[in-house]
Amino acid sequence: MSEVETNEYSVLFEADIKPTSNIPGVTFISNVEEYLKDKEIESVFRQLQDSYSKFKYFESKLSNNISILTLRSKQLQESLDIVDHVASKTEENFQVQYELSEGVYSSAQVDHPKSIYLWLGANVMLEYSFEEAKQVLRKNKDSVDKQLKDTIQDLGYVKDQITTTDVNVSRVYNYDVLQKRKLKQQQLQGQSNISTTTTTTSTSTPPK
Amino acid sequence: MSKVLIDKNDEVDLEVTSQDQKMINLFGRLNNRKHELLKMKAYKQEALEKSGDARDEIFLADDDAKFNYTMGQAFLETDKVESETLVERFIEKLETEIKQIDSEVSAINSKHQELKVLLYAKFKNSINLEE
Repeated sequence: MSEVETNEYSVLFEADIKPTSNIPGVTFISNVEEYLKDKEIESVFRQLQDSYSKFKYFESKLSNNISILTLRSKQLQESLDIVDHVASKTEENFQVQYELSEGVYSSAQVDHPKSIYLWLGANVMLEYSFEEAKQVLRKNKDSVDKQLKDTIQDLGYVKDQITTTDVNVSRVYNYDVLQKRKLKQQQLQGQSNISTTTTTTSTSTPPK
Repeated sequence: MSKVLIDKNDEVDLEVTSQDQKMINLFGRLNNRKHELLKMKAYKQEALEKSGDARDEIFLADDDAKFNYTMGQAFLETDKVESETLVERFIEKLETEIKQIDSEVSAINSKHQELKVLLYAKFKNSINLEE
């Protein structure tokens, strides 16, 4: 793993992943027989199914957040790149086609740019020096990346819970099948025992 | 997705320990990531191909040709030299990203191999660890 650059996803290589927020976990069933003692098998299945759908819901929510955060991080990087580009042109004039409205472009002449404007949201736009603008954007990007990293970790944790539930279901199911088969065999054996006894008794007392 | 499925004829009652469960989880988690990475790689490779075509086009254009280079939502009017530099830089960026994806995928593959050895040794045919 040493040759791999660490990124937001490196946490997925950990043997045991922990959630960053309050996400409940499933308990691993260490001993199926013990676990099923005094329990109705149907209710156990239902309970496992419930937790499975709950984690599936978490999973889709977190995946969605990851797409949103990844996109936002990419957009902030683009903004940083463009600020860099404009900052390198303070001694020049250049043309730019900018979007006036969805799909509508107009041309603008930028003459010796000295500063840049950032849209801060809430209908506020502020003028910044190039350095300050980059600082603001960098700070926003760092915070988005941190959120992204945490969400990836949480999703990894949720995926583990799903896998654990999957395995729990299979194990309970297999245990149930084996139990039923054993029971059937015992019954069969029981029946054949009875039939042998009847035959022996009948042969031991032959009719006169 | 890895699943423990005990074959009907496989009567061996295997005990799954929480250590095994952790390995299975890790396997599944990395498998998901691997598929994401491969998808992303295909996407980047396509972008790389297109940028290569763009570079060729710029190379063939007249020396005084003007280009519109997209940056974010705007188009910057650039001359030949500048467009070349920008495209080159973009291509380099894509190439590094693809290399990073490759090394992450190979790290996953070797981890998978390691886990397969351990898990197959214990569970034999009762476990399916293929994609």
